[in-house]
Amino acid sequence: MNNHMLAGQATEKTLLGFWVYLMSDCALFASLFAVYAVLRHSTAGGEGAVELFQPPFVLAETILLLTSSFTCGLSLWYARQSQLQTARRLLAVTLALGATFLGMELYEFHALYTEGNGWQRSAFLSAFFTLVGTHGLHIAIGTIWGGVLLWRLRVVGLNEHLLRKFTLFSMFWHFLDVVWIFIFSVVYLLGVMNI
Amino acid sequence: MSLPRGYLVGFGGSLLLTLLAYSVATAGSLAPAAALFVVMLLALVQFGLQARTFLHVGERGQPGWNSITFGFMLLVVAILVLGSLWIMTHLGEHSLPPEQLDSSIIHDEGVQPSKNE
Repeated sequence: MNNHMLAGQATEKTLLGFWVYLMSDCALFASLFAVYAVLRHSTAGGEGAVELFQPPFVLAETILLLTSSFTCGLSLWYARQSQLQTARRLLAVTLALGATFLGMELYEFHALYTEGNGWQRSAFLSAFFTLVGTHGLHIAIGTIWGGVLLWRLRVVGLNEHLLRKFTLFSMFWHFLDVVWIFIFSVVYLLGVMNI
Repeated sequence: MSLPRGYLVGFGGSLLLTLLAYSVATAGSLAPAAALFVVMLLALVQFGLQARTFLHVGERGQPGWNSITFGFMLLVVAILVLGSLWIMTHLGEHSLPPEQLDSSIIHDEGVQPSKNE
């Protein structure tokens, strides 16, 4: 067995291991979704989803994150074609979109908090901040990870080791967009319809 | 060089599904039960689309274990979310309605209300 095949097997194992981590992360998000779904009307006399959420703002966040997931996939694809320059540009776009998304989310949290609708206000808001905040924390970690990756691609260039890391990062980033579909639908869309 | 078709389909389709769900939710023309069904259906379709095109679930050449763990994840998530909702929405079934609670405490349990109130 030659070295190349050994490296390929190692990559496959790493990818599967990371995939299993992502699947277990789904259990975490599922618990938070269940808590949110149960507590969504427990507003303790305070304002609920209909009054607090602004659909156009959240739609903009959603489109930003979806576009970043797309550019991330394209970036990896170009990296696999050994087109490093294009791959790096697309990764930079991905991270910029992710950072903008995170900034918008923090703005929303800050606005809610300063208007007296912080996580301590009601069970509904505790569940909301925990669920959306956990996703936001993942995005923050992903943005830092992507930043390090971009820097390594600049310094080292493409090699098998870095391509593997790139693949893991793209899995993580796509996964976060998949989770956001449900936050967008369950928390915001069902929320503004008061369901 | 042509762009990878899967990513384009995934992006375009997800964008369309997002806007569709958004317009259904903000138009408010559907009854709550129908709106809930449509929004969740659109979310699930988009989930399937992104899982396939972005995460490559079930694509040829992917290790079988990826699909197996993915399927197991779906099972765990369904049990967690649907099970929690099922239990929590039926908690009141075997308990007294609030209007009978006071009389039950006073007559059946023999507890008298305090004089201060």
